[in-house]
Amino acid sequence: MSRQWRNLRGFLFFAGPSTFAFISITIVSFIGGVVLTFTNWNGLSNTLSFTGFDNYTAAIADDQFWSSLWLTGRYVVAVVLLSNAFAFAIAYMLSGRIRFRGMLRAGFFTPNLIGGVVLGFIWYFIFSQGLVAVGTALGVDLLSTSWLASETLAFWALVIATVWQMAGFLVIIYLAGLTALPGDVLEAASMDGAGGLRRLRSVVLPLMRPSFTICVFLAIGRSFMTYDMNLTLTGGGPYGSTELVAMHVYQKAFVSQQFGTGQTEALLLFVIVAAISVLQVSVGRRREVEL
Amino acid sequence: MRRRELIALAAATLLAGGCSAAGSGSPSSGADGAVGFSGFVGGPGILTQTEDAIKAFNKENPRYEMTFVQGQLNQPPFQQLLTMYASGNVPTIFILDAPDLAKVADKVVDLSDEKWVGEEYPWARQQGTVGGKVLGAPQSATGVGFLYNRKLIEAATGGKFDPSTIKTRSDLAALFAKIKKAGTAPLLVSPLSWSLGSHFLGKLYDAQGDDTARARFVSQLKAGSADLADNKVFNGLMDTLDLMLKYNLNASKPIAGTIETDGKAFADGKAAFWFMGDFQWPMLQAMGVPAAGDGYGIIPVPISDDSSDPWNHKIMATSAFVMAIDKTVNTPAQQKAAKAYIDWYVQSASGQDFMVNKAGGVPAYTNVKLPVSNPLGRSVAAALADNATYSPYMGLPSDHGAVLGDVLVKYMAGKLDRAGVAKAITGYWKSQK
Repeated sequence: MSRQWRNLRGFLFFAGPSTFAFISITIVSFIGGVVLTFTNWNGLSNTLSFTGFDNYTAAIADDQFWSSLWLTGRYVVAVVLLSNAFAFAIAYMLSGRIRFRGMLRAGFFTPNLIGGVVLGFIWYFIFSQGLVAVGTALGVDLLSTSWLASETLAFWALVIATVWQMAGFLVIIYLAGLTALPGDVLEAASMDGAGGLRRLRSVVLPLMRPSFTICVFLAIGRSFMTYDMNLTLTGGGPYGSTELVAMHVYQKAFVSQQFGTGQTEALLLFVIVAAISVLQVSVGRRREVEL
Repeated sequence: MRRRELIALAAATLLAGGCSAAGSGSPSSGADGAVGFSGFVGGPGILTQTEDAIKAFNKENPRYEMTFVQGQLNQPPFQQLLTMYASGNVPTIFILDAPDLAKVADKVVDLSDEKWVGEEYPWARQQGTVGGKVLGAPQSATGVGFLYNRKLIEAATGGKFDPSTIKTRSDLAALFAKIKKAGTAPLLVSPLSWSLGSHFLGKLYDAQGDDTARARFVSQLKAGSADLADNKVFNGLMDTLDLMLKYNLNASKPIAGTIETDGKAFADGKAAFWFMGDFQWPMLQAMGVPAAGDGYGIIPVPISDDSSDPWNHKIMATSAFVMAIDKTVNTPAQQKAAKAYIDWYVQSASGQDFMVNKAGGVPAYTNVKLPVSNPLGRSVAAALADNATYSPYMGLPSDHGAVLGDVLVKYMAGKLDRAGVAKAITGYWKSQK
């Protein structure tokens, strides 16, 4: 048995099942999806016909798609900035010597263990009933009416709930980054007279850039694809004003039964998210500091 | 090394087996040679009760073994069926909304020769019929209109409330004014797209006349030739909506309500009427309305000031869901077993007991003589018996409720005027192919 064959067999043994799963679940589905964008399939019919670029024309002409994409863009910016800011602040606090550190770490991570659908329902009751009861009792106007009934406040309700969930996940990555910071560099900075804030700005933040790159990448991808929280917290309401692009794509395909157009919009979304993510990672990598 | 190869082979075989299994419906054989098949309930259905019914069916019919497939509560059954059909994993019998039946017409069994055909109310049979073939069996009937709380109305007006006296919008307005004067909120309007888009706005098409007139109106909308600004039904409906919003308990914050908060408010006697359907009875009971619920009922939504207008006197009644049987991946034996389940449901004492008493449904079958178990359902059943119901237009696209319901919610919020609503409706229909 040749060495090459032994290597191939070893590769197939270890990587074969996952490669097979990846190809059959991701690649084949992706190709199938691309093919669908050229058809008029309604999601159920046994027959379909090819319609050329009709779905692309329809997707580009779909005003609701572009407005939900614009809304998603604003949502992504808010979520990425806030979740990373909170996550880094929490991680920095937890990396110091504080009491109940382990318990706090677990506590901040817990929301991430709960599925988006359940979290959405929990926050739905908080915003539509819990805060309203508190606001009414205390006479606080901002809280006495459900946030979910206002276009602007429902958007921020969605941002708050997402940040609350995502920050816990990002905290873990930032904590790992902070733990791996070289002690001698930090110690040298202190000996050179750098105070806490100066050390954070000039030493910790530059050295944490790899963690920022990863966290921002993850936050962008996850927030662009938000569907479950959107579905259960606002349902796209009031009157469709918080319908993010992933939800719009689902509605197009499954509710309006325009699978071809929905799939085309999903493909456009994929291209946009991929382009933004690649750009972000390449810029982030260039700014990383090597010791 | 040989052992590793065997493991790899086993893993690959299992994987391949898993993939091929995705192409089947439900296990075709149960215990002791019984025919195995499955039944699916999704959407806002009656999950627990259906599961209990299946247990009772299995116990009484040892030749069959039916398994329960539970869907998601907050997703219409048809959307869930789409993914089931896409994966080739389709339950033998499933429920869906009547207007969706035509979309699966080539995938379900023709039930025209079944024993229970002819027992349904004519409108229910029509809803279950596609292209002259009976493809769906109604699960039960449901009605939509203004739910009322008689005790609250009588306490506010100081007199006896006779629902039959509400023959016009003016009659309703006078009653609302009287109730409000007594310090009670006359009405609740919930800002729910599905309710407003399907149940309220649906009357725009229904009240155009018979099926031919409805189809003609929709064709005109699609062609862009229908002028809603001059349409009597549209303006009547919007006038009624304006009246509802004027007397709404939540008039100061019209789109803040949810199904839970509004249901609780109605159950707590904070409003005399609620635009909703009898299907909310289980929720009202859970929120404190006594099981007997004396004094609750349902009246039609008047859309004109003409007391002879038939659309002011009828409530909308439809099949809550229809049951259909898949023929694409389920075997003939399984299809036969599923037919036996529908027979049991419609014809047997225990099936009818489930339909009426356990699930609280209103029978859509004339052979079911059991008295309806809740007051809202009794109101619907009485309207059915008096021929005081109408069947809704079945040709609405599946996203009609969601898209145009949002438009009415926007109108409720004051972000859109009547002309804007008309424009949104005509724009929606023009985009339909």
